[in-house]
Amino acid sequence: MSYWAVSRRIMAKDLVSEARTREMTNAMLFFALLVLVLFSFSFQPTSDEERRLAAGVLWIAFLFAGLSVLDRSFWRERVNDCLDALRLAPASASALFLGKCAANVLFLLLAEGILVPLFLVFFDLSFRGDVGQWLLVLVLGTWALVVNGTFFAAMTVNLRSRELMLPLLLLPISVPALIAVVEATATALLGEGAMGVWIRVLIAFDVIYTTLALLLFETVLEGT
Amino acid sequence: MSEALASNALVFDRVCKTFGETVALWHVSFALRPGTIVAVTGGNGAGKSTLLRVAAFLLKPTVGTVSVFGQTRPTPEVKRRIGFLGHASFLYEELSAEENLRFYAALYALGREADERIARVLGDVGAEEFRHRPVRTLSHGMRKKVSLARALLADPDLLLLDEPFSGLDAASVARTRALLLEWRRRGKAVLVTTHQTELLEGIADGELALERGRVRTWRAPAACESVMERA
Repeated sequence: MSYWAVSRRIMAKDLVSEARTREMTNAMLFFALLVLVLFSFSFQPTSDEERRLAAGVLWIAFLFAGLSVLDRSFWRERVNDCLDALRLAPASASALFLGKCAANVLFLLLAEGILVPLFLVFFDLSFRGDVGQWLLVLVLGTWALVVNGTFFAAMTVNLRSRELMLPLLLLPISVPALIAVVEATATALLGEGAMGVWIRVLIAFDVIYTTLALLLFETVLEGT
Repeated sequence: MSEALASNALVFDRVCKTFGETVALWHVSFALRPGTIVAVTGGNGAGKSTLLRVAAFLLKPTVGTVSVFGQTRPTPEVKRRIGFLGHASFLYEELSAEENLRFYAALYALGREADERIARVLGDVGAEEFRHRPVRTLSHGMRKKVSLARALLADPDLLLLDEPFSGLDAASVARTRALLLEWRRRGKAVLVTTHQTELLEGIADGELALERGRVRTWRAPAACESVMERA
């Protein structure tokens, strides 16, 4: 069984488990929708400045959804001590990590696929810039959140205050990526400026943190 | 790696494990040869489960050395040779018994052998009839059987079993005893913790009795060279 097959199996296991319980999907969509609905009542973006603000609101909704996904990611391995079974298995720790990340990315992209159309309707917005490039930003930004979030979720899984620690660790380290995705989204909504520089920032962020996480995950898993 | 270490399935050499000021294991030394069954006995809090977790590399000893087939680090090759049954089932509630085994078969890289192995271990433990049922719908005894099947799945050479008889009915206990004998006959090393020592009578080759983390008695199997040094 190859490295990638182990990753695929972990991903499939998480997807099947979630499809049967839907406990994470429901929580994730509920919180993210709440953010969008509340903000849509507080302002309707008519000026360019308000359109910029709306880009931030969208990513706050994604962050809420992401934190719900990431918090549950390793928590489900604690039930019946399945995390110990993963530690006992001869499979590569980084393959396990990639499988977890892939499942989390799919969950979050699913939520984003539902939230983006609702966001455009609630705020009466449309993309004036290059939608194709923005979709690339969406994928790169989602990976940026997930790769660090999955890593820290594993690190904090046994802490009593894990729900507090995860955002405390994840959000500061994600600031460069969050700035990039919000700026790129504002550019796409306004139709002014170029997204290229933000895409390069996201690619660099993703490469650096994915490499670090893959190298360090075995140590994290041993310490859980 | 010394020859003595390599010829033993498991060696504890003056192993101590503490949690803060609580002593879980204190200068525990013994060796387990392939083809032997050793019972680990003792009351609650004696350190039986900790001993098994240290043996499986799930816990690092505070002091001392643990070696499995001559290796003191949990390399993938060594992990492949360890079968562990703990207090927890290690099973995913939303998946069926068979789906759980299929998942673990992938992690242990069983490849094309997976189907045959899964069928064999489910048959061995008597879990065939509920193989398609989600784990969350299984009783304690049924879960125990599936957990045991999971531990046996990769055909390990060292079996670490924590209370394998708890929650099992008489027929299942008899089946598990027969399984242990079969595994010994095949040259596997088995370390079993139990409160029900009578269930291991006639099949255990040796006994390691613990009391508050210390070795009270070590009755080594006849074929097993003792390396124990009392604390």
